[in-house]
Amino acid sequence: MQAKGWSIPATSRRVLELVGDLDWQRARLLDVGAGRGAFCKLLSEWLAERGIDPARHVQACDLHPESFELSGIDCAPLSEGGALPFADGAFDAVVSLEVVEHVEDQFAFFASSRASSGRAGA
Amino acid sequence: VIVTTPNVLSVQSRLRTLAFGFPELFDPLPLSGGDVRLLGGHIHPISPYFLVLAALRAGLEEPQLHADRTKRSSAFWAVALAPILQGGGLVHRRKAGAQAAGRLGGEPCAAAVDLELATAHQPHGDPLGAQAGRAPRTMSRPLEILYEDEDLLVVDKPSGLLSVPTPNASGRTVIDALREQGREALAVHRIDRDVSGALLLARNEDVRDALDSGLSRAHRAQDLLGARAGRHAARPGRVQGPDPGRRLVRARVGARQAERERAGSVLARRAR
Repeated sequence: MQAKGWSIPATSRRVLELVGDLDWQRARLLDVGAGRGAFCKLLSEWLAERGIDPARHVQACDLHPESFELSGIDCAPLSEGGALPFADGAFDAVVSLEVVEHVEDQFAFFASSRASSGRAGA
Repeated sequence: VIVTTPNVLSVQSRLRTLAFGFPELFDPLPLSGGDVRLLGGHIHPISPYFLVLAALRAGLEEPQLHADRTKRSSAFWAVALAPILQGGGLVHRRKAGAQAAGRLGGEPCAAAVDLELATAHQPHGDPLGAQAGRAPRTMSRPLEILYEDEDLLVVDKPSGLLSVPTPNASGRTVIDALREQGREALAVHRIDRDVSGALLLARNEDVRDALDSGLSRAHRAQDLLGARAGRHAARPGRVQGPDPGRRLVRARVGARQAERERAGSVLARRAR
């Protein structure tokens, strides 16, 4: 299987609107199932326009990190079980675009995403 | 946490399920192959209702549903199937309400997952009109978006919520409720606070001025919108008159099920 090769621009834009009010001077965002990096690219460009270094604020992960095409953003591999390889509360926000319909256990997916979100003091 | 997924409750997806047995974007996949994640397609359609349920079970709070775009091509079927869709929605709300009251049992968090509640982004029981010194009023139900595009917004105003501020009544208005949802709109007409029904709003001043002009000339729009709310005997197609905009308004009102075609997304704040 190949990583997500396409994205829906309207969806990415809507998600960007929703995360746009984070305190991006300190916020960290995780994109779960980042695919080729369509949303990370949109977010990175948006941050760069505001003088914010995307590499310090955006993290990607995917079952197939080798398919991630955006340079400058780290894309970590998901474990075989789909668990997120990050400490609990490591991120202020977790986004996942067009992924939940692919996963085997949707409740576990939400639980894992929740565990990684809500960084202490955020 | 933000999760997006194709909306299997869109009109087109419902019709596709009726015709072919599979929701839109969830075609059958080959049963051979080991890892279901590697089949190259969608394996688990999930409705907004269960998105919210999964979010709540994960310990997330304040789930909200958003749509990324409207699909105008669904408008015809939304209008044609409006009685069925609205009937289904009514049954759903009654069932969800019964669950919330514990009459049907189930887990507490499941009872809390009323799609209408999740969509509304506005809690039940907000005090309304308290500033005026009256007993607080509560909305009968959350504010529901019936139709939305770049020019128009139609909401299903619940009783207890002001359409616009008036000299004799102050408190929370539809405009306030929409602003909390991140939507800006301008009032075009009003419905009494204690009355529920479809309320048309403009998204910009040009549209508001045009609607103001049209409504004041014809004085018919409120009758039309009232007919949708079931307070008048007039039925679609029976209203007489030369106003071409009326048909458009009716179509837009009927397009409530067409509006969330693509992504129902859940935005939730982690429990602290």
